[in-house]
Amino acid sequence: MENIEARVKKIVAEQLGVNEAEVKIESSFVDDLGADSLDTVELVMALEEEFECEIPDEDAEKITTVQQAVDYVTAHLNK
Amino acid sequence: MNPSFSALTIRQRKLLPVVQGGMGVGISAQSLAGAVAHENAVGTIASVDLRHLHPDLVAASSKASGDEELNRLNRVALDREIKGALARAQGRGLIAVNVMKAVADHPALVRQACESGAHAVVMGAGLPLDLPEMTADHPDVALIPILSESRGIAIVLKRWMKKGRLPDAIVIEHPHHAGGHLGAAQVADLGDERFNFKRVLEETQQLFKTLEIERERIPLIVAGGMSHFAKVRTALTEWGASAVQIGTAFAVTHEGDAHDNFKRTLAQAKDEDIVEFMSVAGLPARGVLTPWLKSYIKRLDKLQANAKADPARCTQALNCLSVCGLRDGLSKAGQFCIDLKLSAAYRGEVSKGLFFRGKDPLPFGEQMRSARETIEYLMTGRKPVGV
Repeated sequence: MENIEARVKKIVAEQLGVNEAEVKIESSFVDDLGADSLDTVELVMALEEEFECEIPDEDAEKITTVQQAVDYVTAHLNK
Repeated sequence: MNPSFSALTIRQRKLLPVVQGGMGVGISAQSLAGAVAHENAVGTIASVDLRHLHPDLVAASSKASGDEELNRLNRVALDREIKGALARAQGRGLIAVNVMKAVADHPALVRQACESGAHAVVMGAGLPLDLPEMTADHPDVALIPILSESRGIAIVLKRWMKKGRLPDAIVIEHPHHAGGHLGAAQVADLGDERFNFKRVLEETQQLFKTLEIERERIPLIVAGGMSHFAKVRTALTEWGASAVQIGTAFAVTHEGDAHDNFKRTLAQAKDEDIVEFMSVAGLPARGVLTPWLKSYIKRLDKLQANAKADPARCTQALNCLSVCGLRDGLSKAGQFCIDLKLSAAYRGEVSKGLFFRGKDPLPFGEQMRSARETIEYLMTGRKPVGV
């Protein structure tokens, strides 16, 4: 199985329509990758599907960078 | 009503398919919303910063110590406006309260709207993802999100369905025509094809099928540039919309809550006087090129270069927005105090205020008429004598 960071980056690239090489661990979805407010929610929903977890709205609002997405998934996976 | 139009049904209420859109600060409060509901249509109170409509609360505001106290005064004002609108409606129509997601105190305003007896809460200016939780104790209150494109509608439906909730109606607002805050990321996007009403309506119907909720018959309400009978007829009989939402044409009625100068400024604006710019809320907005807006746009480059995060830039101490371009130093967003500018417009201060307005011409030209005559025209095409 690919590691979490690689899977998150792949989803971010797919959802935001950017090249995977552009997606860095420190990338901000809005400032660096050009996401709008709908993109960021769709991204969270795609992460929920990929990792089969539920991300509540208040947590979703706090996920604004690749690093935060990786951290969230790591902390909540297999719980 | 025109016999070829079907009623708009929200929570068993059979209504005229006309919704008066929420307009703040103070443009649609108890007088307008109550008058529209009295005609058996949907009247909407804009919940933002209603203390400006009550002299005793304005006086109390000058002694208030900070945003908590000001927010409390605004909730007192909202309670009064809802109760006043319900009394004016005399049991007819539907009284909705518009709460903008971008407003920092939105959870408390939603709670107050429910507790004061509003029939519906309408939420836009951001994604209303957590509106079901905010209203969980008030299951009888209808929930109506405002969105502009089918992607946004899909997100809200999917997130709400997980919570076992569906919208009671959806307002689809076209950013190329509507007034005030607009549902696009930047001014250049306002005319994008993805906002085409026909397209959004078709994509939404398809979405209902995919999500297997087409039997729920969630009414779709189109908003933006709809204040002409021919457009109303096309939307309701050809596109499959359940109702139209109208803002500016109601703002200028006799019953509109704002000063007559406000109404005149909107009604007399020519096509070339209506412009788009970025609001402090980080969304594009549309309004009339009045003296203040003209000078603001001229100074914009300088103001943006001076953008700086500084709590003291919230001179009203209201901290009305969760994210404010002026206070938070976001140079791409607007650089003015929206509370100061919109409340000045409400009071009719033409040189100081910011006058939000939709793009399209008004049905009765520069004339001010009643809410009843406006609804009569929208439903039948008949204009009052003298127009």
